[in-house]
Amino acid sequence: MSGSTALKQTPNPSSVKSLFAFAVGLIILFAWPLFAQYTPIFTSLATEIIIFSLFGIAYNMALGYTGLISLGHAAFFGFGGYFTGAMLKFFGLPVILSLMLALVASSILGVVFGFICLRKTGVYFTLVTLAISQMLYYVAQMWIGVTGGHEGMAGIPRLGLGQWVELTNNPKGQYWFVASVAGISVYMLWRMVNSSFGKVMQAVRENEERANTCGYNTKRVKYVAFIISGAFSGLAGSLYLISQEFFGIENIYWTMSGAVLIITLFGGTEVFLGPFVGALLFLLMKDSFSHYFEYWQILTGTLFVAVVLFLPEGILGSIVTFFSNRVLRRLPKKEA
Amino acid sequence: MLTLKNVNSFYGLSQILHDVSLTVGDGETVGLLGRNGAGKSTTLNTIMGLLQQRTGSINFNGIEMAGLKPSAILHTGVGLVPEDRGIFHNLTVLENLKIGYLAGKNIWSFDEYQKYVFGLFPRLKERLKNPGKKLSGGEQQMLSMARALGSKPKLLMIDEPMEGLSPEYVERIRQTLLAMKEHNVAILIVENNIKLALDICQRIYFIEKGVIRYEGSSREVRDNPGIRLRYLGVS
Amino acid sequence: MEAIIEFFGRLAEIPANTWITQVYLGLVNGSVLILLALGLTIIFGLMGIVNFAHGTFYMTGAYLGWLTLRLTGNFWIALIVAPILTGLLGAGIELTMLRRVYNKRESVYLGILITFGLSFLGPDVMRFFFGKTGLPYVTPALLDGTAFSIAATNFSRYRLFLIGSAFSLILLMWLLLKKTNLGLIIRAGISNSRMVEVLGIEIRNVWTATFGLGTALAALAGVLVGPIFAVQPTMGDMIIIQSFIVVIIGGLGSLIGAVISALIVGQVLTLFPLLPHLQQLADVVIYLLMAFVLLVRPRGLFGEEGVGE
Ligand SMILES: Nc1ncnc2c1ncn2[C@@H]1O[C@H](COP(=O)(O)OP(=O)(O)O)[C@@H](O)[C@H]1O
Ligand SMILES: [Mg+2]
Repeated sequence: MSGSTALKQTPNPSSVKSLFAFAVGLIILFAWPLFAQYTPIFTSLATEIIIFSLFGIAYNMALGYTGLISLGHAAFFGFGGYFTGAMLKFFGLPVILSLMLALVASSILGVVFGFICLRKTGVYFTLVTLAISQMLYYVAQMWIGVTGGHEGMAGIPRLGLGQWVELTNNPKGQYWFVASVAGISVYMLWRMVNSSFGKVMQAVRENEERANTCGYNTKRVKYVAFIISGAFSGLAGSLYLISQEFFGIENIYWTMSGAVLIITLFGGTEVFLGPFVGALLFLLMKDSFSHYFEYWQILTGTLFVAVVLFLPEGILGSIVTFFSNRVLRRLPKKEA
Repeated sequence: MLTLKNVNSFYGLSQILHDVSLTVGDGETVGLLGRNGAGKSTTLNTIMGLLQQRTGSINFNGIEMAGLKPSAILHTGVGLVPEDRGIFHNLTVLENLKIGYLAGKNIWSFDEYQKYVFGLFPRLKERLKNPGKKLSGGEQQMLSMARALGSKPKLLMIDEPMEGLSPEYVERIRQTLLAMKEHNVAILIVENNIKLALDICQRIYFIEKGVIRYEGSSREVRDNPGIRLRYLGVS
Repeated sequence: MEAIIEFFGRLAEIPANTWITQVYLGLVNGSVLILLALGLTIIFGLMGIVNFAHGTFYMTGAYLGWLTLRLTGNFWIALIVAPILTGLLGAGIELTMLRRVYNKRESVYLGILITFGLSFLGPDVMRFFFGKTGLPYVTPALLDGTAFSIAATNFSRYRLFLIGSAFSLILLMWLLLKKTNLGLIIRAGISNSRMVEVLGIEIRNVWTATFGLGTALAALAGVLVGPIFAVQPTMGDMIIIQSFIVVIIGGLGSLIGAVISALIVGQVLTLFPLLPHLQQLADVVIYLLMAFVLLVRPRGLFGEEGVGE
């Protein structure tokens, strides 16, 4: 997590060039299902990539932007999924309402979870997040009536989108639905990191003491960042449940926290869209490696360790640094 | 004996020392004075190799020390008593001494070392079995000095040894420093009590914002209150 | 009120030998946890590395033990060879990977990531070489069967041997730490590793040795549980979390804390399921215990100020 602060934000959207790039990105994103079958990334895989991008970007609010190394985000992901499943299955609520409620409920979980964990700093924080999320795993395991225990949560009604059922009752429709919800969420997060609060978060990450002496309540900042991070991680879990129409207990197991950590690190914690690249890479590797070689974790794990050792800025982060250095070198020096 | 030439050193991106040059001769006692945050501790830590980012030359008895690790630097004959004293809190006084002695085990026996140290600091002998964290500030200072002597350094660097100590301990430590002078150990001491510093040292450096501003004999400094006012804010 | 009376009534109905059995099994659990937690806490105390791969080394030890047993047919050789090989592997990983990150500002964080990556790939390495299903160990003939019985509880020789081994190792570790120069340096390094270097000791070699030692202890635990549980690729996943909890409760970096807390956690794990109505909570209870300890004593039972914060 080194490097200059300048890289940590996406380019200013008001410039024409970025607006163009943004529009192109958006078009590719939404048009993907139309030509997915000609690429290795089929629509269902693309859906998964989008969900895990949201998860990673949300997770990175805590990790990259605020410097909180949590290994408990599986709790949010799992909770969001189970909660949405319960709303759909047992209360028959419409999907949109369930998702909104899940966002609220995940925030509340973040309030409680953060209250306990943020009393600790450093390694203790990491280990306590891990332990508390494991506790929720066991709760999920015991509460078979709702979660289905090891069998997983099944029987989730198809996207209850009322009159849009026809549209969404297929992988493409699901993709568009997931992409829309995730897109709006990512946009909200992006506004957040570019707001004044986002600047404060980064100040805390860079040097907590200095931020403190500058008059910021750094504890509050971390708390709020953690809650936001948790809330949208929960939403990612909700989307996962909706797209899979099923939710297995491994989604709340600690290895899921590890997966999101890997995804985020792969892409790079210092670039807003880093986790998107990470998710792309991680799921593509999982998908294609496991096609040819069952033991894909060997390759992914090795690559992960290599990235940590040799590309600490992550893959997208390193690319951005590389190009911005090239650009900077072409510019005349401002100061002597 | 010790010669620093144009030494720059950094904490991360911020440069703390700027072209610091200084010397300590054989058996000489030299004081390094300056206000809080001037870079005195950083100078000692840089010599000891504790700051990785440094440029310039640090030469000790003909050995170029830039690039050596702290452990290697100690074996050239330099010892450091750091500002925080660096006591191993969970180890007893005896164990603390043993660690200090490990680097000197080819030079003298542990018995000889203990005898020497307890001659200087009889108080330590009484507290041999106490853990480091139970010692008073003065006792910790004595232990830290005693420990640094385990390797029989030719140059001892001491960072504010008298800080926060009662008059008896200050006197005890002053006596020790004088005794070490007798033993021909060179000393580089950071000491902001100007009277004490002038009493012990032959030469004085004043440092300000990481730059050496003044060098002179103790006598010159004693006779010139203006210098003291300028660099320490006391006369 | 009635519920409480009923609770104790049901508690009183539990036969004595059930209690004895559970205490005894708890001691077995505790012994395994001691071996893991000791390594974790020393490595953390000395190097500031939270070793997420500790469960992986435990599993590696178990598999290498199985392989040695298979090749030589001798459990005792396996008990020695597997920890040594795993310890060398650990030392190699320290030398080639972890060593690169100590000096960085984010060393704790990078250490977690590297060891986490290793723990991610470890199980698949074992699946690749040894298959997905569990592998049985044969209990050595010498330790087969029951040593003695108390009130219908059979004390198997092997489990007693495991407990005995764990406690012998505590004693050995204690001797190493208290009576040797290496131990002295390790303890000093836990307190202030920079100062150890300033006193002329090349601490990096001590780090490598300690990492190797810690991983060897984990591997030994892996071999020791072989005859009791089947050896399988996921065996490290669960126990690593339990070991973390042990170390948190005991206080990061504290050796005595690790031992005592391992014994407590071992007992809680086996005794809690006996409590009427509360069996359901058995899996969760060690987490509650951890939360409780941290509320009352923020640094764990024996943690020192500043370590890991
Ligand atoms: N570990 C550190 N990291 C960053 N800056 C430091 C560190 N230690 C000291 N400094 C800075 O270096 C400067 C000199 O400090 P120091 O050498 O301790 O001063 P002195 O010993 O003269 O009081 C100060 O401005 C201080 O803020
Ligand atoms: Mg100082």
